[in-house]
Amino acid sequence: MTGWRFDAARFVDEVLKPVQDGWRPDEDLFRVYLLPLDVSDTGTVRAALDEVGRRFTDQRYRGFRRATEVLRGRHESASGTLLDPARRAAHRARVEAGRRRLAAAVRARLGDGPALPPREVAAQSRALKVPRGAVLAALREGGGDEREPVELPPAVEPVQWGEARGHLAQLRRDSLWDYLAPFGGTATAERALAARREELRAARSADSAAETTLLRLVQGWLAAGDLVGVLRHEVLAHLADRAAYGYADAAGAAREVADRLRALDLGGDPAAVAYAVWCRHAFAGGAEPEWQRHYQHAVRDRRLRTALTVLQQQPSLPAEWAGRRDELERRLAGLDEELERCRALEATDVEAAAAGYLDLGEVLADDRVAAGLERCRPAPPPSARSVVRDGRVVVTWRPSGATAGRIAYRVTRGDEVLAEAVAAGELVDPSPPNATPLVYEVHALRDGNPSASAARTEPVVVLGEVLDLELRGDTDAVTGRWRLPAGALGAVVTRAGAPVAGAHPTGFTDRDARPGASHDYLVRARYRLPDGSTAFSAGVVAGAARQEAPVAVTDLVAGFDRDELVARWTPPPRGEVELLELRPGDDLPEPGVVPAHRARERGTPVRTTGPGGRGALRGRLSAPGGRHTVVPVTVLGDLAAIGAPVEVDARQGPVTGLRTCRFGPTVRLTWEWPEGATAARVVWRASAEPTGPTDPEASTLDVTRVGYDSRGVSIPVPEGDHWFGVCTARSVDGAPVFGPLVLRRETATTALRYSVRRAGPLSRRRTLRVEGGPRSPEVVLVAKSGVRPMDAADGRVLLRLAGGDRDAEFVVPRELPRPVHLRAFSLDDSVVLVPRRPDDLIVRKG
Amino acid sequence: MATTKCPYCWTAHRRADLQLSCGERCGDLATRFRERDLDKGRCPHGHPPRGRRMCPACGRDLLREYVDSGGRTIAVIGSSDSGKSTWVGVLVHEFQRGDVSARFAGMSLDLLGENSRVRYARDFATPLFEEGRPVHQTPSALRSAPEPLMFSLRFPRPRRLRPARVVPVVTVFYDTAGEDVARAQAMDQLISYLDAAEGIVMLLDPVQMPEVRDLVGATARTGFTDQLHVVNRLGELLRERARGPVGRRLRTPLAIALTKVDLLRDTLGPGSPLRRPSRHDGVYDEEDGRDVHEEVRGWLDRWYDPAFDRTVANAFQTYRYFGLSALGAPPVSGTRLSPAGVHPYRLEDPVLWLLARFGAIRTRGK
Repeated sequence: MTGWRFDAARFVDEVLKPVQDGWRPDEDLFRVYLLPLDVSDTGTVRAALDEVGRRFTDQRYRGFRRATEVLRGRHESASGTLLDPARRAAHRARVEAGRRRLAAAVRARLGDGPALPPREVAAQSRALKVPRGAVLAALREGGGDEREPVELPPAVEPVQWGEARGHLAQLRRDSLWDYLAPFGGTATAERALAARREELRAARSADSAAETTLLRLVQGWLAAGDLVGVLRHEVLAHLADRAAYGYADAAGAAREVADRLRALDLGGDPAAVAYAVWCRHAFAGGAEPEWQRHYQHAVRDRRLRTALTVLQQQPSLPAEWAGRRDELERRLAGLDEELERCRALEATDVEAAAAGYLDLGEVLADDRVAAGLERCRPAPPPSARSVVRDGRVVVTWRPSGATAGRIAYRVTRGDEVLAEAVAAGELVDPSPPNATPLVYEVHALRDGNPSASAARTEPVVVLGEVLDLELRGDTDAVTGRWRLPAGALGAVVTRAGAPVAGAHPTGFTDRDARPGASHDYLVRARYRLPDGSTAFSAGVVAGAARQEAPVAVTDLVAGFDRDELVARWTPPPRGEVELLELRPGDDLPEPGVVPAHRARERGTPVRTTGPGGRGALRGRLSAPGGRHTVVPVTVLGDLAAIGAPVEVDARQGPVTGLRTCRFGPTVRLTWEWPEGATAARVVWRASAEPTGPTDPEASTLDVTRVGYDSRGVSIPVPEGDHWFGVCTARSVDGAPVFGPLVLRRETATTALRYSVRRAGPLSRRRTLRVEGGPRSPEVVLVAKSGVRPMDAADGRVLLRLAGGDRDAEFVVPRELPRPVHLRAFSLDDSVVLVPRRPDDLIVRKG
Repeated sequence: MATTKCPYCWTAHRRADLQLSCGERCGDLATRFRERDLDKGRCPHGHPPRGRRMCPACGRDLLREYVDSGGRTIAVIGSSDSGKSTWVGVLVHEFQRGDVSARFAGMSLDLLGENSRVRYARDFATPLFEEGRPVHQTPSALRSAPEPLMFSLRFPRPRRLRPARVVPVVTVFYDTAGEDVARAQAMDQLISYLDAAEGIVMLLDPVQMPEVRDLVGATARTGFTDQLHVVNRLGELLRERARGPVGRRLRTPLAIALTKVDLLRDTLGPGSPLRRPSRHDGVYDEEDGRDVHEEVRGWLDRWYDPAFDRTVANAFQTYRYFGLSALGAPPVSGTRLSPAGVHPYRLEDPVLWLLARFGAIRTRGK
């Protein structure tokens, strides 16, 4: 017993039919002889070879004669292969490789889907030339199965669905389902839609227009009882869109809209609906009839008559499609009636007829609609006018009475179209030709369809001005130049109303203009008109001044005040004076008038640091100290006059802050040194100002900066008024050179000594003695207990000495508490008294 | 036994206790040892030691000239902004190359040690005489340890039938922060410093006296110190380490200098000695000093506080008043001195008085 059994059904399905269709049996001998692939028992093989071999001549299979003959002819070689273990193993390997290829093909077809529909399994079996069982086995091996999808409504796009989608997009709504939810969804009533349309009646926005149209479409579907069908189409189209990305996407989308599916009676199992939609998308290639696609395209293009013809040409339309055909016939009849109405209106109310044609055009593509609109031309603008303004022509017109459609205007000048479609009522002709009468025509346009006639303007003539006018003032004349505009023959130039001599068509040279004054010139272009007359433009005014020669500064005086330059000069009648600091090593510039920029190249401008004014400047040079050359430059317009340079030396500047301080018989002098100065001369003279640093009547002291900083300057002087002067000093080529002398006056005093001594060894009396000097002053002796009297009134007066008296005796009163301090004061301001022994001025007892 | 006070930590040591250190030949064995431990002029390792001696307490080098001449410490105190640093800075300049050097022929002043030279050039000479700006305020001893300014004043002393001898007087100046004196800050350091001083110069700032402030129209500062308070503080500080009864007057000579007298010119009569040049020409003129003393004393009695002199007289056995101006003219701003330069007046008088008391210069009219 081998256990092998002959399966007649398998033999027919898996062997005879494929061989009959052209399958080569030596591709899989295990299949031909109904053997398992892993068979190794020779007995089993022999049994199968014998039994199947007998069937090749069995009269029951005479219907498969061609197949049985092929099989019979290969039986001997097949037996040799299957009975030889080595050849059988090699053959098994080839068969296994073929089955793996089949599994891969089926898996690819299944994709991420859960199953394949039976029709597809059969199709794969035919296409791959393998038995259906082999396909199913490969399918199950890949995790799939064979399953029939649920029934879905036909994927027919409702009439005007594409238009509705556009309006929903305009309203930023994802779906009609969502839009209708506030109105009741599938239970939406006509009354709710009408109420909404009433609300939108006053609105004029693009959104309101889109919503109004959408409501009208919904009302139409509702009236035809097809609203639920439209909503079903919408949700299935949505799932179909997702199915394009695979079954998983479709299944996910179906779960999201499960409520909608149930509400629309599309099944309670979202997965089943998703599988059906996926199958329709994945395996429906070629399933949809060609005529349905033609119908859909015609509806989308508003070729409703073509769409109807497509349906009428189908011999056996399904019931649903028949209903759609009838509906379309009724709709077209209604549109034809509207066409006729509009045609009739053309004679009485063109705008109403045009509006009707435009409405029809939105739903129906028809030559009669286009022809009707062509006949309904808009009215032209009632009037138009043109004005010349700044060399351009401004055209304005009143709006046309046409209201239907998009109204615009076309403006032409002669044969030239200036603007094809202008919405506003004004147009500027930017470059009109000069000296030519210009007439402008304005046509109204309705969606590009022009009015039968145009509004015309009165003729205007443009006289353009000269171009690129430039004036320049030189020292000898004012010159001007320009370009003539197209059509101009020349130009006329006037100054103060009088013609300017020396003018030519593109320029002039006015040598009679007064120098230094500003002049206005009027330049007008000259034209010859078509009638032979001469005309002038309004003219362009430009100003210019003839350049005046600047006057040089010749009396510049400059010096230093600390580290600032102080300069004075006689201001010239016109122009600004600039001071330039020459660069070290540069030659002195030649005096004369040169271009201003060239004069400024000769040096660095002196930076102003303080208030100046005409004829004066306070500024700072590039580097403090040292010697510098400063040049005055008078700048007037583009010219500059170089003046007489002066040399300034900071070391030769005046000392500043000179101060005298009297210390008894000496006077201390302090001052601030100019930058870089290293030596100074001090000059002093009694009762009179020194005439200069070398005044022979004055005393002098030469001081170095080092000596000043170390020991200062203190000068002993006799009593009386003295004038002190200080100036900087330096040696040039061995000769002393002094700076400006700065003077101060100081009064010196005479110091006389005085002493207080006991008149005798045991005497209480004391003697005051004033010593020295040609004449003693009037003196008062003051006493004070505890501390020294600080002035003549600070204590008790014990003694007075008349002027000229040298000594006198006095007694310190007992009632004054000891110690008593004595002090003598001079009542003459020019004399001070100095005690010889301060200790003697303290009376401790007695 | 001769003693030396360290100019850095103010501790007193016997000369023989000053430390020496081994020379370079001792290498890693180098150590410190007392001078008395020298063995025939050699260190414990038998090599010549380094020449410079060191303070056993703080370990800092002591200059030989300071040790051998018995350096004298002069303390400078005063309230904040009284001009102590300015006074010291100009004083050195005056002794080196100013009017004082002209009046004391042959005298020279040399800054001792690199620290003193660098510090004087950086903190005093450069701002005052090169950049024309005030010196910076002295930092409190709480923030940084005060560094002494040491200099040697050399006076030629003629001798009969023999060449003149040069007598060096090494002087150590300590510039204290005004805030340390006015407040109880950095007490220990300040007390040590004052205790070691052989003479004290106290600067009185007239601008911090209310009456004078109104008189001269000073409005620059708001926080002023009562000058009498500074004297009281000084007495308290000196008594901290003084020996003997509390009632005994202090023996340290005190020079009380009224500064900025250029501002006070209108309060001094034409016969005032503070409107005359100093008479200390080669000697200290005692008559001039007494005259100024009485003048300043009278001025303080009139313009400041009659109690001031009594307080000083009861606290110090020896004191003298002075009047001076370190700059000669007030600064034009907080950062710029008078452009006419630094022209001091009687700046040196307090130091000349102390030097005369030390016997370094002769006194006339005593």
